[in-house]
Amino acid sequence: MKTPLFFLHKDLGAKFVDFGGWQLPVFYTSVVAEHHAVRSSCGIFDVSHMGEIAISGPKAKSFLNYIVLSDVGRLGEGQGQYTAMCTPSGGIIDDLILYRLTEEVFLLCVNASRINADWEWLQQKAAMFASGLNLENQSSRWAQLALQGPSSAKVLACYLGVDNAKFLGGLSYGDIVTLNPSPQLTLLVARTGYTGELGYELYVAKEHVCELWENLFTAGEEFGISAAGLGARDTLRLESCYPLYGNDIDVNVSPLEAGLSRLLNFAKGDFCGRDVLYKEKMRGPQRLLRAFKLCEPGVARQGMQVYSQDARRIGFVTSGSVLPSVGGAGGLALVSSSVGVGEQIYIDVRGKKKRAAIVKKPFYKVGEVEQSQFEG
Amino acid sequence: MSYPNNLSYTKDHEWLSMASKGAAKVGITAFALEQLGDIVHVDLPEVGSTYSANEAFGTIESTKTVSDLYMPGECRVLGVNKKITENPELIQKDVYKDGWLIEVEIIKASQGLMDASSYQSYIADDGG
Repeated sequence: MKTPLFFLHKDLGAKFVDFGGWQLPVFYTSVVAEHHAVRSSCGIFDVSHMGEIAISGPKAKSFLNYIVLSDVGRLGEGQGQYTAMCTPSGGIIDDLILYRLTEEVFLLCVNASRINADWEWLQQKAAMFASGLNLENQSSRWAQLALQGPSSAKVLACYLGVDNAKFLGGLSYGDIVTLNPSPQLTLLVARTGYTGELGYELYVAKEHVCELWENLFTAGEEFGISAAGLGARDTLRLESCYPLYGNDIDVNVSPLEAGLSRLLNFAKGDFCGRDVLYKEKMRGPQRLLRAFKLCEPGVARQGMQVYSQDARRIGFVTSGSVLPSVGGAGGLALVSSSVGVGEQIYIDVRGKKKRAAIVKKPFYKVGEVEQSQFEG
Repeated sequence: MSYPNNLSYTKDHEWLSMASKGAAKVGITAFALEQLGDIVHVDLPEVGSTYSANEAFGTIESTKTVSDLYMPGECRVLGVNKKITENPELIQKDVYKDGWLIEVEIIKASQGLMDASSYQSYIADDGG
């Protein structure tokens, strides 16, 4: 599958990669250069492959409260939260962002590779509700751009113009607002992202996305905007230790193992997976998704085996890469929970046991975002 | 992208520059580099080790992938470029000169080495 921006990427010289059946740009000129552009100014990503599922009606809130781990009641209109949904046995079906657009209308932004699985799961669970609940898979209708980096607010404000830009200032992390930059164009602008930087994700009807990309690019020129591919998206999210579904988490991993216990709200009432997850929380997870840093040259990649100092196999690498803003290489590994931060481990890199250390998450943290640029 | 006329090229996107008495330097082509993107790690063999033709002698690693490097003939390793193993990103500055990877003594050259123009039609034909 191709996003509407495929030919635009091609013209920019993109190298493509297959990602869950989608032909997506992995880089245009250089993963590392695009990574640094996002950290220092602004990058624009085509994330049109992501899925969008709308859930509405008087029962939408109680339905979603049963489906996701977090407390949907804490979401006001125009707010979003990062959350996940689990099987009854506590395995992660998908991680997602849940937005409450209005009192009874919610939008789920889900992983491209999970659209079909999520949709089936939601429909199956919705059958328990006789009425008052509407589900719609809108994935083929929406395109999505991510504008990320310290200059992203300025770029977006410059594109939106004074009347619309004033809404940006009020957006806290996770908030979403509907804007009309022109009479025919409706945008959902969310202050979210997958890079650890200040950023926005823009939802737009597919037929308008090329125009939006070009206009944002023009607005961003003076701020040094750069097109950024999946390669940079991966190194940026890895430095921030955001899990990637299909790599770090899947249906065999629990949210407690994944280090996502902050998402769980056991006080809100029953939800799918609650009993198993509650027991696991009391007992403590057997494995944990830990960050590691290699102490020798090289890169540890997904699937490589992890060993303790006394040569016991203790887990495997789920994501590994160079870390351009940190230096060196590192990643995430699902390892026995007996291994703690600071401990030395060994990773089998194509037959060579390379020394690594378990480190505190995340690798990279952006300072407090300067809010004053919005005010006044 | 340039493909100097004084070099020989392999189907695995490596170049070979004959020095003297069967000695040659080996590196990767500009095409290979463009496909790989940023080079982050290079693993090269021990000096003195011997390899048969087309045997993997090392790896070159970009941000996204790891690729094997193949011997362009039956060879003994005479030297490795330590500047590149220590600073792999240097290969991007000059893939044909300072970016050489290993120096070998060719015991028996492989069949099918290409000159610059044949290599360019090879990559134009199937993209590698």
